[in-house]
Amino acid sequence: MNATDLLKTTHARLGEVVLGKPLQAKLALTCLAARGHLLLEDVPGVGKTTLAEGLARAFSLSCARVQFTADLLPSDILGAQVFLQQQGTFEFRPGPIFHQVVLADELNRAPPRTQSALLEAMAQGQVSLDGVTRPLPTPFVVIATQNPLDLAGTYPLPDSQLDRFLMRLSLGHLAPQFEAELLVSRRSEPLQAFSPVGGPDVLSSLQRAADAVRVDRDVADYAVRLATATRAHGDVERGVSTRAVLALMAAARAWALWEARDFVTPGDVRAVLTATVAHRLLLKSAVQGAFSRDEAAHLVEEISRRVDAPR
Amino acid sequence: MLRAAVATLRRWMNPDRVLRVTPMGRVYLVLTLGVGVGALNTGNNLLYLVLAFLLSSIIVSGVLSERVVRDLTVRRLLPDGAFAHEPFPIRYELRRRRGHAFAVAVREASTLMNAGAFAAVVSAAGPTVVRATALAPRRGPWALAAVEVSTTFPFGIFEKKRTIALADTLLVYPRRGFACEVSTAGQRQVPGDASSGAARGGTADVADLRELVPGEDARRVHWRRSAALGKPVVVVREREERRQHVLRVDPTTPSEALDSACEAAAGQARRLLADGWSVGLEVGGARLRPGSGALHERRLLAALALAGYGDAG
Amino acid sequence: MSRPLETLARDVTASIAFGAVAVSGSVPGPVLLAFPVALGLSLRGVRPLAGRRSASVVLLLAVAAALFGWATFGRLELIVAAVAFAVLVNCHRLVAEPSPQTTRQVLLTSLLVITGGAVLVGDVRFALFVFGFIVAASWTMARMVLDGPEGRREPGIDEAPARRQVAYGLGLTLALGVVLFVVFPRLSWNQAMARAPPGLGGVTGMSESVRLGGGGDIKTNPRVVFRVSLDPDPLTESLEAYWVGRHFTRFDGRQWSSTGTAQPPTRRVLMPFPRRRGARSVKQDIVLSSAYGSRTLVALDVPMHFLNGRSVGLGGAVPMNLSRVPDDQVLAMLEGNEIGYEAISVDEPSFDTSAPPASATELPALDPRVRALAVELKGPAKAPLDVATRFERELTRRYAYTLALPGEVDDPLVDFLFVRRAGHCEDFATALAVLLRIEGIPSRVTTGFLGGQRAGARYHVRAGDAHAWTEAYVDGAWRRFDATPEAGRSASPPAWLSAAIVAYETVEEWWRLRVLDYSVRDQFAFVRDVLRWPSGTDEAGEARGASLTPTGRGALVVSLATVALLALLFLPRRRGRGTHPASGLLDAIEATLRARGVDTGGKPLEEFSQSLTATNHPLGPALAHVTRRYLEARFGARPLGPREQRALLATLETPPGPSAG
Repeated sequence: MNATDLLKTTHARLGEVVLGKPLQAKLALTCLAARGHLLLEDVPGVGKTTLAEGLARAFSLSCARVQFTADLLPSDILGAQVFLQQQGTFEFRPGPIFHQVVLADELNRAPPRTQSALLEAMAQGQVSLDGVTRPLPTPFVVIATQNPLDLAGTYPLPDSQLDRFLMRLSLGHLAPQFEAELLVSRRSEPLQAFSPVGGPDVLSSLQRAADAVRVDRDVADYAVRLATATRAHGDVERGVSTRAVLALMAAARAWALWEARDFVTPGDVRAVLTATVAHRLLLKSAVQGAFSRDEAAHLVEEISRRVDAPR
Repeated sequence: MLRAAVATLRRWMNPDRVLRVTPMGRVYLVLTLGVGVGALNTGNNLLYLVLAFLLSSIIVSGVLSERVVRDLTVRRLLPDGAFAHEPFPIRYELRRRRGHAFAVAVREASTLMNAGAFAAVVSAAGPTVVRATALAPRRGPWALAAVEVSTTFPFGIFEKKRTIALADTLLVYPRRGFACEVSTAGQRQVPGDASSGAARGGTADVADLRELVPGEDARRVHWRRSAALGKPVVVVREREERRQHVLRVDPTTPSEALDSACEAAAGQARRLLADGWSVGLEVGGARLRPGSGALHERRLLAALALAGYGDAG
Repeated sequence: MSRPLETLARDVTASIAFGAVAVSGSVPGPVLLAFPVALGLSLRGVRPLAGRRSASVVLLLAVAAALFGWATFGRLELIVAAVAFAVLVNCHRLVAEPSPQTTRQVLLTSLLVITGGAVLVGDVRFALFVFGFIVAASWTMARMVLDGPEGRREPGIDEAPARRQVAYGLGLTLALGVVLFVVFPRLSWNQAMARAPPGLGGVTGMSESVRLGGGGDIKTNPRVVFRVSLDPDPLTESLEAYWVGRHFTRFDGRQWSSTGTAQPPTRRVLMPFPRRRGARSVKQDIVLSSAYGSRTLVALDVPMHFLNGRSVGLGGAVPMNLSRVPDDQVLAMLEGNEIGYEAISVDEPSFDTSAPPASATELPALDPRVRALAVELKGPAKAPLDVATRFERELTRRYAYTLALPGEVDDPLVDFLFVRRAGHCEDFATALAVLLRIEGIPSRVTTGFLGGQRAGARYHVRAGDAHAWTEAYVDGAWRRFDATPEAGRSASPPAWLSAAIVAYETVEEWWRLRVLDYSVRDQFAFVRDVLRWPSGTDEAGEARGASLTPTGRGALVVSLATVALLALLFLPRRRGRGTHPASGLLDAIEATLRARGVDTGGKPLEEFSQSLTATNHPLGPALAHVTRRYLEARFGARPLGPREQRALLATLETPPGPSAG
C-alpha cells in the first residue's frame, strides 16, 4: 500500500470512531506523518482522547495516558530509580513517557516543572536521569490536550513550549446529526472494534515518504513570506519563529501525501497553515487567553489571503 | 432598465441609508454652486463644462457608494467578555455575495466608545475580518443593536451610511485595578509552583523536595535530607484543603457606588483566587458557591458585571 | 506619516490646474515663477513652510493685498488677480506639512484655479487640462479614501479591483459630464469667455501705414488671425481669395498712408458704391481672433456692407459700432478679445466704381531711372488696361520674391527696382502703383490677406497670409493687379507643419463650434433631433440627423477613447513574477473558467477545484485533472508542452454531460 492509500484507509477507520471530524482527523494524521507532536485544545468531552487513542491504535503503537494534575511530579512521567529491597539496589522504572504515543491529558494542569520535563523529552527524543541517557522509542508522539476555557488551570504553557507542538487543533462540538448517531450506535467502547492499519514500521514508512516530498523554491519562498507577514502584522506582538517555518514545511510535505503528490503546492501550505502557525503567535490584543485563539486563527487566515501565492 | 430605475429610486427612499456630506464635500458643493452661478451668469460654456463634470462626480459618487453598501453582510465577533475602561477588540466579518466593496468603515451604532474599523477592500472571495478597538465606560450588559456601515468611496465627497440591525449582548466586567496586583506579586517570593496553593512549609503532606533557592527562609530546609544529599533541600508540601471566602455585594440600582463595590469585589476575588483561596459570591439573593480556577473567575466576573441589572446570577 | 504616492498625485493635480491658467498668458510673471519653484520643492520633499503657520498666513495676506490693490488700480483684471491668488495659495499649501487636510486644500484650491482657467482660456488646450485635472484629482481623492481614516495603507491588500472601480467611476464621470454639458439648460443667450488667448503679443499684417524698407524678416506665421464662414459656401479646400483690409493712396516715396478721418460710428456701414444688378454677393461671418491685433475689418474682394459688429470679451459679447474711414477701411469701435461681424461682398473685382481721389495720381520725387523703367516696361501697350497688365506681368517676370527686408536705405523703391531686384509683396505693390501713376493711371495699394484654408465648416486665414497688392482705376472701375510672383503671394510653412496645423485646427474648430459656442439654440436642435429620432422616416429629420451625426459620432469616439485610455492607465499591470512557463497555463485556466461563466469567487485554483469536486460540480473531474497537471508542471518539475496544454484546456471547454444538480 502506498502512502496515500495508507493515509486514506487510516482516515476512514478513524472516521468510524471519531465522528464528524474528518478535517481534524486528517490534520492529526498529517501531524503524525510529519513526525510532529499534537496539541488538542478544546472543552472536555468532544472526543480528544478518542482521537488520540485512535491514532495510537491505527499503527499498533504502544500508548500511555497521563492525566496531568497540579500535584503531578516530573518523576511520574519520566520514571524514577526505585529501591529494590531484595537486591539492595536501585532500579530504573521507566515512566509513561517511554511509550510510542504519550497522551498528556490536560497538560496545563500540571506545574511548569512537570510540563517542561515532558516537553524537554519531546524536543530531544531522549530522557536524561541521574546521569544516564535513555532514548525514547520511535516513532514517538506526544498528543497533549488542553482545556482552554478553564484558563490554563493556572499553568498556561509558555510560548516557547507551545512552539514544540507541530499543530494545534480544536475539535469543537459535534454537529447535531453526529451527536444523534453517536447515541444510536451506543457503542460504549468504540475503540475496541478498531483494527490497526499496520505496525509502527508502517508509520515510519509514512514519515519517510513525507520526508521525500520535494519543495519547490517558490513554495518555500511563499512559506517564508507568510511567516514574514505574521511578523509585520500590526496586531501581532511577536510573529512566528524560523522553527515555525520549518514546521510549516514539514506539515505541508505530509499534507501533499494525501493527494499522492511528491511535491508541495501552495495549497498544501495554506491547508496546514492555521493549524501549524496560529498557536505560535503572540498577539498584542488587550485580552489574552481564551479569545486570543480565535483571534490568532482569524489573523492567520487574513494573512494567508493577503500574501500572494506563487502562480 | 425601468425596473432597475424603480429599485434604485426605492433604495434612495429607503430610510436605512443616510447620506452625509464630508467637510471636503461641503466646500466642494459650495464651489459647485459658485461655478453654477458663474456659468448661468456669464453663459461661459467652459464654466458649464466644469460644472457638468462637478455634477457628474457627485452623481457617480452616489452610484458607486450605493454599490458599496448595498450588498454587504456584517457579522460581529465579540470577545467573551471585556473589562470596563480597558480597550478590547471587536471584530467584524464583512462579506459580499458578489463583486467588491471598497473603503468600508464599520462602527457600532450604540454608545459604546468605538474607534471604528476600516477595510480597504471587501471581496466576494471570502470574508474580510476587520478589527475595531472599543472601550466600555461601565460594567454591565451592553446591548448592541446595530452596526453602521459607511463608505466615502469613491471620491470622499459624501459618506453613505447604512445601519444594519445586528443584536448582540456584550458583558462588560467590572474595571480591573492594576496597582493592587503588582504589590501582591512583589510579596510572593517563593519561585516555582508556590502560587498554586502549595503552601510554604507547614503541616501538610510532603509533595516534593527541591533545592534551596537563594533568598528563601532557612527554616524550611529539611536538614536530614540535606545532609544525605550534601546540598540544602527544602520540603514542598501540598495543602489539602483550601480556604474559602464568600464575597457579598448588595445590589441596589446600578449606580456609581454599586460599580465601585463590584470593582472592589472583583479585585478582591482575583487576589484571593491567585493566593489559592476558594471564592464564592453573594449578589442580592443569588449565590455562587465557592470555587477556584479561571472558569470560576469568569463566572464571578459575570455575576459582578450583571449585579443590579435585574437578571443577576 | 509620509504618503509619497498621495503627495505626488496631489502635486500632479495642482500642476495641471496651474498649467490651465499658465497657458492663458494673463497670469502675472512672478506667479508664473512661484508655482514651479513650489512644485520643485514639494517634489524634492522640501517643506519650508511646515510648522510656520502664522508667518505664512501673514505672507499670504500681504500677497492678497498686493494683488487686489493692483486690481483696484486697474493694472490687473479682478478675475486674473483672483486666479493668481488661488495659484499662490496652492504654492503655499504645496510647501506646507503634507497631511490629508493639506491634500484636500490643494485639491479644492486647484479646482478654483481650473475654474479660473475656464474663464481665462478658451483654447482646446483647456479641454486637455480639464480632463487631466478630473482624472488626477479623482485619483488623488480615491487614493485618500482607500487609505482609510487613519491613512494607514495596509500592506498586501490587492487593490486592483479598487483601481478598476475608480477607473470605471472616472469613465462614468467623464461620460456623464459630457452628457450633462449637452443637456444642462442654458438660461442666457449671452456668452462671455476668453477665446484663444492673445499669447505673446499680437501678430498681424494690418498696420496703420505701409512703410517700405526697414530691417528683419517677414514671418511666415501660421497663427490664425480670423475665421470666416461663407454663404454661399464655395466648398473648396483652399480658398485663394483676396481679403481687403485698407486702401492706401498717398505715397511719399517711402511710405503709404491714408488721410481720411473717421465718420461717426454706426451699427452698420454701407459702402458708397453705386449698386449694380446681377452681381453675385457673398455673405461672410467673420471672427477676428485676438491674435489679429488691429481694429481694421476685412472682407472678401469688394466689400459692400458691414453689420452686426460685436466684441467678445470677459464681460460677454457686446454689440459694437462700426465706423468707416474714407480710405475705404472700416474700423471696429471697441477693443475685445475677439471681434465678430458680418460682411457682404461682391466677388467682382471691377465693382468699385468710386471716383479716384486726387492723391491717387500724385507722385513723389522720383529717380529718373524709374520713369525710364516705366517706358521700358510699357513697351508697345497703349490702352490703360493693357499697360497695367503689362506692368504686372513684367514685374512678376523680372523681379524675384524674397522675405528678407533691405534694411534702412535711402530710396527703398530704387533699391528694389535697381539694386536688389528682389522684394516682398509691398515692394511689388508699390512699384506697380508708382509705374501706373507715371503713366497717368490712378492707382492705390491695398493691404489685406490672400488665402483661406478650410477647417471644418469655416475658413481660416493666418497671419502669414498677409498680402499687399495694387488696384488701378481703369475703364471707370478699380481693378486688381497683383505683381507679386506666385511663389510669394501667400507664405506657407513646410508641408508636415501645415498638416499638423490643419489637424490641430480641425480639432480646435470642432471645440469652438461644439463646446465654446454651444448655445441654447444647439440645445433646441439637439432636443428636436432626439424627439424626432425614433420615427426616423421624414426627410427633414434625416437631413438634420445627417448633419448632426458626425458630431455625435465624434463625441462618442472621444469618450470611448478616453475610457479606453483610463482603462489602460488603471488596469493592474501583469505580475512581473509570472515568469514560470506553467503560469501561463494558470492564466489560461482562469480565463477559460471565466469564459464559461464559472465564478471562482477569488479562490486560488487548488481550493476552488477541491470545492468543485466536493460539491459534485459537473466540471469538477476535468478541472481537478487540469489543476493537478498544472501543479505538477509548476511545482513538481514535470514540464508541460504547448500541445498538452492545449489539450488540457480543451477538456475544460467541452461542455459537461447532463448535470447532476
